[in-house]
Amino acid sequence: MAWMQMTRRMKIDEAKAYVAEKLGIEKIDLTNEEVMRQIREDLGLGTVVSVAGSPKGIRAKKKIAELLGITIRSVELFKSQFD
Amino acid sequence: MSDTFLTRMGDGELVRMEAAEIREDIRTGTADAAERAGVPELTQDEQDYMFEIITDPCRIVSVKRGKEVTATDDGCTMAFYSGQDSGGGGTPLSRMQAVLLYERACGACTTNIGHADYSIKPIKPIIRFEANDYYNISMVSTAPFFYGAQPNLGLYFQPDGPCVNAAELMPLGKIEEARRSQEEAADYLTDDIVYVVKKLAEVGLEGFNLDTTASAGDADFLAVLRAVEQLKQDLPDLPIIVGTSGEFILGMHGQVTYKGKRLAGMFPQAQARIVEEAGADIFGVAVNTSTNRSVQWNLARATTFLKATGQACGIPVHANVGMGVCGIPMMEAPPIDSVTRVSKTLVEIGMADGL
Repeated sequence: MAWMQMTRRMKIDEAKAYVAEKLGIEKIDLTNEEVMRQIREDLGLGTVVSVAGSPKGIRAKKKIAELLGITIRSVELFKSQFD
Repeated sequence: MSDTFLTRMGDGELVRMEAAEIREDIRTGTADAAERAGVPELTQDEQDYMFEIITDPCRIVSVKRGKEVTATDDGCTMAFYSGQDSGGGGTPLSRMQAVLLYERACGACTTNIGHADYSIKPIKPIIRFEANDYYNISMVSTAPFFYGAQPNLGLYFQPDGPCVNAAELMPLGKIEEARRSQEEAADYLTDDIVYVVKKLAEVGLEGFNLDTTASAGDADFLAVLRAVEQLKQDLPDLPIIVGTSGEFILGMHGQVTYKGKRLAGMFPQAQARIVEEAGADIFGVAVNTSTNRSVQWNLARATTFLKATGQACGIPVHANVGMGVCGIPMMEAPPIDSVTRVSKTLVEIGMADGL
């Protein structure tokens, strides 16, 4: 939700609706640990409990940017360094 | 005693008050903000709900399910490793370790680093050091990662800076000279903000938080608005937060304008509109806590300003809830009972998009 507030100036309710739609879940589940834990691991968005070998940091942020359809400037720099 | 409740004063003192006294504080707090800013008072239903929140028998309260919001901060990670003057715990951690702990152990929505002085001016000489740290941390952090600083126009006046000290000119009756000095300082500040942010932008800056804006008055606010406008022209994809330092822009200059609007005397709803016009993405409301009034008086006042601000602008509004702001008591370690009551009220009644 914070990414959507920063990059698209969305108020909180709009940000929740946007992210929930992208994740294919109900808004109420955005803060449901039982649901979000698995979604985060499955989509490589970074998990609170560290799963060895799963994306964290800039690799997770790259997936977050792609999922939400936003530009994250650190990710753009990271990608440019592979060219 | 059955009709009395524990609450706190703005300096943190724990006091027992009667229900009627608490209701009266809520009523007079919202009336004070409404009269000052020319905005509606909280409705009777909202005042009744705020009374319920304040008098909840549990020490910690929470927002209702589904009402959760995001949080941004101004250097919270510094609280891990800094000392008393920054509210810090003095733990020997690097900045990277502090950011990752805040993100992964505390579950922070966003994270942030800044210069130890947390002002724009001292960043300039060490900008490459800051850029290196920012870049390194941004590669390993997952949550949105901001760099933050206060504009702090005061550092541009003698003996700390190049401009004649306006605060010394004014008591001498040299009002015009004081105004010119503030304008000169504002020009320096605008240039420095743009310089610092652009250097960080070169290393992938995810967002910049201009915190405690206008602490030195209307010229300070002008410098920030001009910098935001220029940065958004040159770096349109860079998210910018502008948070203020109080509910009222002090007219230390008195005459400066931005896009034809006089900045001195602006209340939060007008501050938010002009910050949005400059191009910022999130606005931070700050309302100063009066230490000799109760938490509920201060909170009713802050909530009134906040609700009107969210309705006045199209960008997300975050309420600043550090020590001594938006109803939080002005003390070193704000009590959790007050912090959670303030947070719940600002979100559920004040309609904050974040804290």
